[in-house]
Amino acid sequence: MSTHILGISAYYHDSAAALIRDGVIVAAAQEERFSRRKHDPRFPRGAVAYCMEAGGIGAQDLDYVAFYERPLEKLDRLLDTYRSFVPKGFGSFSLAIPYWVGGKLDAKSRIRAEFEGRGADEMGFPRKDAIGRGAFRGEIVCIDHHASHAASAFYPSPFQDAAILTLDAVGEWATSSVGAGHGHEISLAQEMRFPHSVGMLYSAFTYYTGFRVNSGEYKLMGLAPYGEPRYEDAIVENLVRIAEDGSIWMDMSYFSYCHGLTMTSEKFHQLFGGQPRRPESRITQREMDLAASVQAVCESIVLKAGDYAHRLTGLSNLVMAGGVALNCVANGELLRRGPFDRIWVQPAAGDAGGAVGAALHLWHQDLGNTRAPNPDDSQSGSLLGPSYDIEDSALMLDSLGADYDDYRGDEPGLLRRVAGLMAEGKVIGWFAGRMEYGPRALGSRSIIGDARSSLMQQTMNLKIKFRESFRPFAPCVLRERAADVFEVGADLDSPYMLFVAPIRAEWRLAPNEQDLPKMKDPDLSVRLAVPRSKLPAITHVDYSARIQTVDERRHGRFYRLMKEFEERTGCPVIVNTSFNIRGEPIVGTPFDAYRCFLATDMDFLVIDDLLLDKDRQPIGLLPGLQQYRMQQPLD
Amino acid sequence: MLSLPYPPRRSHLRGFWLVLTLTLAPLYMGALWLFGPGLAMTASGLVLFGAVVLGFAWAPLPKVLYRIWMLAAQRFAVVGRLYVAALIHFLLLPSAGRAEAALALSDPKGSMWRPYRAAPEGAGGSVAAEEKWFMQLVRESRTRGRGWWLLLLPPLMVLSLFVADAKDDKSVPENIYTLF
Repeated sequence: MSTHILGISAYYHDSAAALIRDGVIVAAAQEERFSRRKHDPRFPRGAVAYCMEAGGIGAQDLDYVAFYERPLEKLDRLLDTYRSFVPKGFGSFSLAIPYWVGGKLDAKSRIRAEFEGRGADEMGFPRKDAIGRGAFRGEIVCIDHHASHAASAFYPSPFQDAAILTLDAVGEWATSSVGAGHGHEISLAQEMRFPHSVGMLYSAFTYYTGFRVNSGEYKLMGLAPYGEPRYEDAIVENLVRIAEDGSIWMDMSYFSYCHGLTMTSEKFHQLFGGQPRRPESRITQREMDLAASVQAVCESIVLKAGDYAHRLTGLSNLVMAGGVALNCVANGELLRRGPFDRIWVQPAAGDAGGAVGAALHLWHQDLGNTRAPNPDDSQSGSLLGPSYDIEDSALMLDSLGADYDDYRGDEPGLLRRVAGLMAEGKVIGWFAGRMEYGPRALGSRSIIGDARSSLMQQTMNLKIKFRESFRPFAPCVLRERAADVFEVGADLDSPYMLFVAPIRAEWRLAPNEQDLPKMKDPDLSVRLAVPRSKLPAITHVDYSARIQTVDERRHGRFYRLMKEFEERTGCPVIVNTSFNIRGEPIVGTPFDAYRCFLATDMDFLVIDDLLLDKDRQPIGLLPGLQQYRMQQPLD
Repeated sequence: MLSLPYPPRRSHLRGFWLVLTLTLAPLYMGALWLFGPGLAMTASGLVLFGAVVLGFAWAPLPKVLYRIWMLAAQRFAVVGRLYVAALIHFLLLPSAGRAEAALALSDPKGSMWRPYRAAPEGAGGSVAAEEKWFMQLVRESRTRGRGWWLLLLPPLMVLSLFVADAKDDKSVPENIYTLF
């Protein structure tokens, strides 16, 4: 008799669900992919329903539901924080506390209600439809937030023993934690506590530079290479004290996130010479320098914390999770500098990953079940979301009147055709197999193209993403060729796009005289358009790239496509960006993909075995495409 | 008062109109007893009766009143929420004293790593029961030695009555973490 555990993260941001059967991850997905609402914080109804369907079970078959944090512990932190800043903070308090007593504290009851069809929809109408078949009679267990992160990092990792480092904004009280995992047991030894948090520090600068907290941090990271760390000293001398062990103390007079409705205080603004940048306004050199500075500080903290984790545990492997673990520049630096031989980062390192972590924690740590690490890891390439039957996809396209070429039973033919199209500079929407779990598109819901094309970056940004971007796209590289193109070890395994590495000198291009003035242009997209390497679409201005290695075992058809492309062109690298437009969650279903394909200037779309040519699609097939393009919020 | 969904469905409008009728009927009977039958009472009775019948037959009429009622309820919720929250924030929280040491607001120098203190709740653990939040608060105030939480309990329970607008997550600012 199998034991089924459903992990849930919800009620903050990026809600998600994961199903574990006897310790094996059967399915995991973020709710935003189903609800089409980016960073959806609501109960993950769609994701839960999918997980149970994927597991072939009903609610009555679930033994436990594991929730990824402990609400009362968080309330404790909130109350202590507010009472320490009285009389400040009333605006924040009057918004926060009703939200808690209005339901967040009753997370367990709310979850139970959802299973029993007693939940409420957005408008307050009672929902009569229970999730899944049968009645859920199991137990609902709350797992500590950082324990969930730690479990999400250690249990799926390929290591029997590893140091554990979680770096986050905040969970209950902890903002970071350090410890070790041995076999099936995790032992977190130490934590840093709120409000001293590397995630908060980074988010404060995200806010100050005009990006959205909780989602714009990756933009700040992408902006950093344009700047000089001119403010690094100011940050270290005023805002944050970094101890040799990587722990930090932050001067709260510069921040207002404890009591206010903003991240930074007037004192912070005076220190850095002005008010926060208005979102979507022009990015100036100041923002670039601020980004470079906080990135340098963040890297320094991560490196020191890594050293400390190594000293504390004496282990040669490291696993990481928490939002800061998505900082792939810092991860790459830690990997290159050591002291760890190998590092594994949970691909859904943010709160969404808490769903997997909470469930695995319950299975291994609390129920005491043993674990046998998989040398490749147990995350299955993070391809844990839904896939779609080709018959259903064809039926959907037929019903819409779409025109497509059917390659069922002829994979080599499909790959030859697509590789040829890519070599011609066409942009391809690639929808294949199971959807990714985590924030990155890893070759299942991706837009792909030729990384050698100097126009690819601009085309993808302006005609498909509808944005002026200062960030290059990420490269997918054949795993066995990664060391030929990038400055990485021959054994590098980076299937989750979580490490940045420099491109090798022989691939780099020195800018010519015509390009030199462009490299100082205030418009960053002009700077980015100056080719820095023979792979301009994926090379940042500092010659770095966010690598995803692709191998046959994990990636199957996607690997074979890249191999075909390499045989045709000699190039082992392609461009990979998420299959969506600006502000939209990554596409989830074939219909989402087809709509996005029609609404943009993508040239071709592959839905598993079906190939669609934009030029052959009847005009006016889907109404409301303009509205679809415009309704997406700013990201 | 606050649990009425908006925008309403037809069944909600019918229910609302029925409650309104059942509330107005005794009031009218009382007025009739107080002032006695006369032309004015007969006329107003006929108007009320006509309005009640019309309301059941023609949805726009209860819809208008429903909307007025809901707007008033929302305003009342906002004022009530602010009033109770102010009571907690400015009177009760200060009485519990500051927790600056817990937050380490002054630089303690040295390492900021502290012993990991979370005790993950296991299956069947002591905190596994699905209690209402106020029951948790009562129990945990004892086990954690936070007796002052009991002071907060009555106003928090009142506050929970004013959460209709707090459920709308648009009212929750995106730029802060501490809410969660």
